[in-house]
Amino acid sequence: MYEVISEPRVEKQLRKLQRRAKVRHENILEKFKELEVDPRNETVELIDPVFNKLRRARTDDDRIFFQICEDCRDDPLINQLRQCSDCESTPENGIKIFEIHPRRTAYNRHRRR
Amino acid sequence: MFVKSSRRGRTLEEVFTDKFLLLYLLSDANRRMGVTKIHKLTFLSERDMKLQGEKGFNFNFIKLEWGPYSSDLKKDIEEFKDCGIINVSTHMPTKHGRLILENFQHILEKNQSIVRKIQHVNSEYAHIDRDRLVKIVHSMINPERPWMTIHNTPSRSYILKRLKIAHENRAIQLTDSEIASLEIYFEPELFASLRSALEEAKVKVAAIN
Repeated sequence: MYEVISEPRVEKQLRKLQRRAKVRHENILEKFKELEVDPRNETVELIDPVFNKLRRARTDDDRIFFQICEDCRDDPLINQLRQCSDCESTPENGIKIFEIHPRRTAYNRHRRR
Repeated sequence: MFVKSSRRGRTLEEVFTDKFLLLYLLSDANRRMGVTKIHKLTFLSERDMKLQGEKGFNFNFIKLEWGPYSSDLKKDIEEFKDCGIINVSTHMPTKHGRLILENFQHILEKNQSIVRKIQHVNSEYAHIDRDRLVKIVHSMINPERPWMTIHNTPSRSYILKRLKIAHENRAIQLTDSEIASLEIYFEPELFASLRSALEEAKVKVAAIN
C-alpha cells in the first residue's frame, strides 16, 4: 500500500472543491484510494525535460499530477529535478500530489475573444 | 431505421498530433504568413501524406472561395494564438512554441518521413505569395474526386478527408506519455501552474540554503 501526501496547495484546492463541487471532490478522493493500491495502474508517466517521471491520473473531470517517491529516490536525475523540501520526512511508500487541474475536452479550450 | 452517422471528430491523439505538426510546419516555414496560406500549406502536406498512406495531419478540408479550408485547423490556430504559442500577427512560434518543439524534438526524429513531407511542401510553396498559391491549389486535382480539379469542385464539398486508421500504411508514432506531456505544453495555464507547484515544493530547501 502507498500513502497519499498532498501538497498544501492541493489541500486548499480540495477544501474548495468540497464546498463547491462535491461530486468532483468525491471522485478525486476515490482516485486517491486507487492510487494507494497501485499508483502505476491506469496512470501515465510524463516524459519531457521539465516534468520527467511525474505521473498523471484522470477522474471524469480532473487530472491529478503526482510523483511516486520511490521512483524519485531511485533516480538521482529526478531527485535533482524535484528536490522536495520534505523529502526526508516523507515515507518510503509516499505518493506526492502536486496538482489537480480540471480536465477539458480538446475543443472547449478554444475561447472566442 | 436510425443509421449511425460515420462523421466523427478527431480523437485526442489526432488533436495533439495535428497541433504538434502544425507548430512544426509554422516553425519550419520560418516566415510571416496569413491564415489562408497556413490552410493551403497544411492541406498540401496532408495530401502528400495521404497519397503515401501516412497518417500525420488529421484535418478534413472543404472547398471555399479561397480554396481548401478546415474548421478544425482554424480552431487550432486560434487556440495557439489565445495560448501564446504563436504570434498573433506573424503566426510564427513564440518562445513557448519553440520550447515545445525543442523538448519534443525526439518525436520529429522518429517520424522523419512525415517531417520530410512538411519540409518539402514548405520549400516548394511557403515562399509563394498567397494569391498565386491559391491559384496553384485551385488548379490541382481534387484528391477525393480525381476526375475534377479543386476549382471545379462545388463549394463546401470535401476535398480532403483525414485518413482512416484502417487505410493507413504508417501513422505518426506517439506514445501515451508523449501525448500526456504534449497536453500540458499545449495548455500554458496548466504548464505554468504545474511548474509553480513543483517550485513551491522546493521552497523550504531554498530558504534553508
